[in-house]
Amino acid sequence: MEPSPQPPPTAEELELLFQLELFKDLPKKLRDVLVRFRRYTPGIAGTIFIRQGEYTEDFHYVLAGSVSAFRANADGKVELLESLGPHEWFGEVSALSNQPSLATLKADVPCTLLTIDGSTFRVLYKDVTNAKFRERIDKHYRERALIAHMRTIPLFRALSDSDLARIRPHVHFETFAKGKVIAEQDAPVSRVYMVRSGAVGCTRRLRDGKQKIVGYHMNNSSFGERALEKELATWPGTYTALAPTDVLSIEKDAFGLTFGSGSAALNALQQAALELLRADQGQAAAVRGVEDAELSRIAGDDRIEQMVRRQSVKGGEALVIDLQRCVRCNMCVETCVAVHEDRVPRLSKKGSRVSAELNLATSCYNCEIPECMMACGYGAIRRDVEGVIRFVYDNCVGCASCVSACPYGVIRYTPPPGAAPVVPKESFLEQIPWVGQFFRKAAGAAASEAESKSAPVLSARGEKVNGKSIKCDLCAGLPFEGCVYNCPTAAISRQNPAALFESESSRARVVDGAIHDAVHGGPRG
Amino acid sequence: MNLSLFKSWYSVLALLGIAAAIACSLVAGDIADVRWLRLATGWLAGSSMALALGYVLRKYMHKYGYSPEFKLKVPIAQLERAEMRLNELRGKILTRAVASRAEITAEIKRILSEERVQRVLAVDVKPGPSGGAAFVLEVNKAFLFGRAAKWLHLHLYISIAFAAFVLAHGGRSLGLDFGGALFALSALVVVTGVIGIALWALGPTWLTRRERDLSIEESFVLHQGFQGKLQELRGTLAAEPELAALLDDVMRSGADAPARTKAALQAASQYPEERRRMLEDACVLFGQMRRVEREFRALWRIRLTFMAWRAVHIPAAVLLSAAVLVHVVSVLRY
Ligand code: SF4
Ligand code: SF4
Ligand code: SF4
Repeated sequence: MEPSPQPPPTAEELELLFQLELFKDLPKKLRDVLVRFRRYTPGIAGTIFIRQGEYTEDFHYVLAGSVSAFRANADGKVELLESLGPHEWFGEVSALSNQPSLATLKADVPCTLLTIDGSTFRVLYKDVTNAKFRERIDKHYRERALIAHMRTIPLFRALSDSDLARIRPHVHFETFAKGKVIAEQDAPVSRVYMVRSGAVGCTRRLRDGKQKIVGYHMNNSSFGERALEKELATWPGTYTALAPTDVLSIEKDAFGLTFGSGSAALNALQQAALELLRADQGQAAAVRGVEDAELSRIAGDDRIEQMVRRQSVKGGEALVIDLQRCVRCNMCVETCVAVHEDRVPRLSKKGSRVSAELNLATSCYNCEIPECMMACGYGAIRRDVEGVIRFVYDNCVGCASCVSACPYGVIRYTPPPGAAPVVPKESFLEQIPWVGQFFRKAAGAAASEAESKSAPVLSARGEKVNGKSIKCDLCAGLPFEGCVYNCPTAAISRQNPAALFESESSRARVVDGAIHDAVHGGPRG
Repeated sequence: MNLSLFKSWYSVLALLGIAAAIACSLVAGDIADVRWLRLATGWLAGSSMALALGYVLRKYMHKYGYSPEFKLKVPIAQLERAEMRLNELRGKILTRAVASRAEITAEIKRILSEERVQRVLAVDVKPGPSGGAAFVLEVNKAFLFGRAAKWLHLHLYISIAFAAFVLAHGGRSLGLDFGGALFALSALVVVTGVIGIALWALGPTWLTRRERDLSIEESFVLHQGFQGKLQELRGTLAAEPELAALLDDVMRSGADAPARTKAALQAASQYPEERRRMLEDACVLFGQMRRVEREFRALWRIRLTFMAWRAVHIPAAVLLSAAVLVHVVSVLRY
C-alpha cells in the first residue's frame, strides 16, 4: 500500500502511540509527521509483509502478534533468522538503504503493525533533535539485524555467526553528507569501512597534481581491507561520499583484539581481504602497479572518470545513445511526446557524453541510490518491486525537492492546470507531413484551443498530474518503451551504467597491463 | 560506420527477389506472353511495396500516437500485481519449490495471462549465477510488433526485391510508356533509398567526429540563448540611438566583423564608461554567437548531407505509390 496522509487520530490513539518506547521521546514536529503518515497493517497468520529480495521501504512496528523473519540461502535452504514480538520492529535496513529486503517477514499469528513509509522513517531517523529514536533504532539494528547484514558483505562471508557476534560490539555507525571526505590519501589506514547505503568515490592525486578517480563503492561493498592485509598500510586515495552515505566501520586493531593474532577467524578475514583486493584489480592496478605518469597518460579519455564525476554509475538503468548509429532523427523524443497525455518529453538527447561514441541521454536512471526519493518528504516517490522509481501523485505536492535533488536533472514539471502543453496537440490533418501546415489554425483560433488544453493531465494511473513532477515512467502500461522501440537505427538502448563502467574498467585494466608490460618488461606481480 | 543497418535476415528476401526476376527472364523469355507469370510478379511487386510502406505507416502512427499498440495499454495496478506474483515466483525458484525451466515457464504464462498483461510484458528465464538461484527472471516489455530498426531492415530489403519484381513484371516490353515510367520511379526510389541507408551508416560518424566540442543540440540551444541575451542588450542600448546603430552595424557584418567591431568600439570611446561597456559586452556576445552559429551551421550541413536524400526519396515514393495504385486499378478495371 502506498503512503498518504492519514485521517486524524483520536485522543486515545495519540496517547497510546506516544507511550510506545520507540516514539515516546519524539519532539512535537516529528510527532505531527508520524501522525500524518502512520498507518496500521493488519495480518492473519501466514500473511507475508515483506518478501526477500523485494524492494520495499516500509518500516513496521509490531503492535500485537508475532512475526518471523526467514531467509532463503543460495543453496535453497530456508533458515529462520528471528521472531519478533510486540514492541519490536523490522524494515529499517531497507528504509535506510533502499536495498532489497534481506529476509521474508511472515505473521505467525494474527498481527497488527504500525507502518511508516521510508521517507517518513528517514525524516524521523535523520533529525538531529531526535537522537533517542536513532539510538534505539541503531541499538536494535546492532542486536538483531547487524549479523544478518554483515553476512551479506563479501569481506565477512567467511566468518561464522559466533565470530560475527564477537566483532559486533566494535562496529560503529557513521553518516557522511554528500561531498564529505571519509579518508585522506596517504594517511594510515586505521579502519575498515562497509557502505550501508549511499556511494563513495576514491580519487587519487597523481604526482603531476591531477586527480584521477580510481574506485567506486556502493551498498555492501567495503574498503580499507588493506589494513587487514598488512601493517602500516596507507590509503591509496581519498575516499569521498558521493551521496548521503551511511557506513559501518571497525577499528583495525579490533580484529586482532577480538580474534587474536594467528586465529582461524583472523586468517579467514585476511584471506578474504586479499581476494577482494585481487578481484578489485582495476583499482589495485591503478593504485599500486602503474606509475603516476602512465596513469596520467590514460587519464585523458577516461570514461570511468567522467561517469563517476557525473555520478552516472549510481544509475540503475540509463538510456544510452550510440552516436555512431544515431542519425539525429528525433524519433525517440517525438515518440516520448506521443505516449504521454501531457505532451512533455521525458528525455532529452543532449544528456552527457561519456565517450567519443556514447551519450547518456537525460532520462531517469532509476538509480540505485535515488536521491529524488530520499529528498521527497511526502512519500511521493517509491521504488516498485522491479526496482523502478515511480511517483505516487496523490502524495506529490509539487514542492520541487526532487527536482533539485536529482543529480541528472531529469525531473520536469507538467504544465499547471489551464496552461497550454509544452508540445501542443495537433489534429490528424495538421500532423500530415508538409501538408499539415495548411490546416494549422490561425493565431486567432489558438485561444479557444488553449482553453481545451486546460483539461487535467492524467498519469498512467489516472491521477491528475498538472503542476507536478514527472520523469520517464518507462512508458508505464504500454508494451514498449517508445524511445527504444521506435529508433530506426537501434541507436538508443537501456543499459546499466555500472556495466558500462565495468567494461570500461576492464578496458582500463588492459591498458594498464599493456603499459606496465611495456615499461617494466613483464606482467605485473 | 554503422554496418548493423545492413545486417539482416531480410537480405535473403532481396536475394530471392532478384533470383526470381532473373529466373523469370531466363525461363519465360518475354513475360508478356506468360500471363500467370506476369500476374504473379505483379502481385509480388504489389505486396512487397505494401510491406515497404508498412514501415512508413508504422513510423507515423507511432509518431502521432495513432498506433493500435497504444490501445494495448494496461492499468498499472494489473502490472504491479503481475510483478508481485513474479517476485513470489522468484522466491519459489530460490527455495527450489519450483525447479524445472518448463514449470517456471508455465507458471510465468499463467501469471501473465491471469493478470492480463501478456501483451505488455515478456519474461525471459535465464540461468542464475553460480551459488545463487537456479534461474533468474528478466522482465522486459513485449515489443509486440517488432522494433522500428527491424522494420527499417524489412523496408530496405523488401524494396530491393520490389524493384526486381517490377523489372520482371515489365519484362522486355518496358519502354517509354506508363510501365517504363513506373520502373524508372521504382528505380529512383530504390536507388535514393540505398544511398540514404549508406549515408545513414556513415553520417553519424562524421557528425560525431565534428561534434567534439558542441553537439548539434547544444549549439542550437546555446545560439538561442546568445540571441535572446543580445536582443535584451540591444533593447537596453536603444536609449542611446547612436550606440544602438553601432551595434546594428556590427551585427550586420560578415567576414569584416573584427574590423567593424574595432571601429564601433573606437567610435564609442566618447560615451560614458557604463554605456561603452554595454556595447563591448554586446560585441563579445555577438562574436560568441557567431562562433556557435558557425559551429551549428557546419553540423547542420553534415546533418543535411546525410538527410538530403529524403528530399528525393519521399516525393518519388509518394508518386510511385500513386502510380502503382492507378496501374492496379486500371488493370483490375479494364
Ligand atoms: S529522478 Fe533522478 S535521482 Fe530519481 S531515480 Fe531518476 S535519475 Fe535517479
Ligand atoms: S521509456 Fe518512455 S517515458 Fe521513458 S524516455 Fe523513453 S519514451 Fe519517454
Ligand atoms: S530515434 Fe534513434 S536515431 Fe533518432 S535521434 Fe533518437 S537515438 Fe538518434
